[in-house]
Amino acid sequence: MREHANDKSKEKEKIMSSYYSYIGSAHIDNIISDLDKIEEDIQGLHFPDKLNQWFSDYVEIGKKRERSIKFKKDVKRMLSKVAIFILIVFSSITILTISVEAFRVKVFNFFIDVNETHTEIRVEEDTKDYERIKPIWKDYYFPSYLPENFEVTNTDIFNETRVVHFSDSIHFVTFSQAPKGTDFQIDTEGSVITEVEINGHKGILATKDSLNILFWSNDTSSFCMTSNLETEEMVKIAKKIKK
Amino acid sequence: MLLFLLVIEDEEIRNKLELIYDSYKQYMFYVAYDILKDYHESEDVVQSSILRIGDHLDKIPNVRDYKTKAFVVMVARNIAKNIYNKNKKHSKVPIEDYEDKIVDEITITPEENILRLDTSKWLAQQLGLIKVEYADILTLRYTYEYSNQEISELIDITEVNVRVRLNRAKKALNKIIGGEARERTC
Repeated sequence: MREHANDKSKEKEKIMSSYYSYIGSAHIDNIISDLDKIEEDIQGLHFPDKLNQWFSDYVEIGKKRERSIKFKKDVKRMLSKVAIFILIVFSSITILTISVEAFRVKVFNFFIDVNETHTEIRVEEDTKDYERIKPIWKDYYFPSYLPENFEVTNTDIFNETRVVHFSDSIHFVTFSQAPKGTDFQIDTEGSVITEVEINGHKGILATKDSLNILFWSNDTSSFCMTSNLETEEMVKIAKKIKK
Repeated sequence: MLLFLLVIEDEEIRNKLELIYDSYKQYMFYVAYDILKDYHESEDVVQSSILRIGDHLDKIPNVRDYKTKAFVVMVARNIAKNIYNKNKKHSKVPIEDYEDKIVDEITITPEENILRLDTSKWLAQQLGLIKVEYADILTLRYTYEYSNQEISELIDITEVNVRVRLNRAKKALNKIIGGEARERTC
């Protein structure tokens, strides 16, 4: 019974709200009608300019604040993109460094370069300058003799192995060296193998078509020279390597 | 300059408020001046109205609508009345007391006259004649469907005052309906 009374009360409340709303609508009509009657007076009343100025300033402050907020948001959005980009680049480099041997060597070179002096960085970049490589690879051997017009075309580093590429545009010499005990993989299939003597140490010379491979060691290092030069010329270069 | 430091940050809201200001500033200023007869105080009313309306723009779907025009006028009028009442606080006979005497004499309930919708315009007019703020608050609450709290923010009175004014508005309406009913039955 009490519930029923409550329901009735709620319904009555709804009806009354609608009724008041209807009265309100009539009130709005009355206001509009009253305003229409005095429209001329309203428009004729002097409106202070400083109110317009106030509103203009007020809106401008809002715009400035909005621009400032927008700028901060843009910067934040851009920074997050940059951060993601850096993260992707860093991750990619990390993955490549771990997975690709050649790339790892390059990357390590890069880091080594950063830790070296500026002079050393420049030397690394200018790989054709033979004289500048020598001070960096202090404990490594270099040919003191090369046929005329030969110059360094490139260098490679694989762990402790150092490789220098020379060329005179027609011929090439690739000189590799590593601490003794390092494995060298030499393709000798179908090659003619002969023994040679380099500064009192035994060496092997493999000749296949126009390509010659000379391998030898001394007390501290192992060497491998690949070239399309005559074998005599290669042995001459090998005998004249110096630190 | 009351709430000058409050600023509008959203472009859409700002555009709507700019449109309201441009369309209805003259009306706001007129109703304020009509009550206060003072330029500076009328300026304050316009500023205060704009700032308060700016906080409740979500319930204004169309700025150009006649309902928005009436709404803006009601807000400005009530703020102006507040200032007017504050200025007149030393008056020996408070207007409210006088009106309450009129209102409390009535016993007929509006429910008894609920179906007489044809007289609504006249009823609203009469309610406005007793006290226009009663008609305004009834309209803001039931036609524009603002909550008591929103109304208190809009016209700068406390929520308690909103409730009191609404009750008085209903009583005043009761009186008008009762009087008219008696006239019709005579």
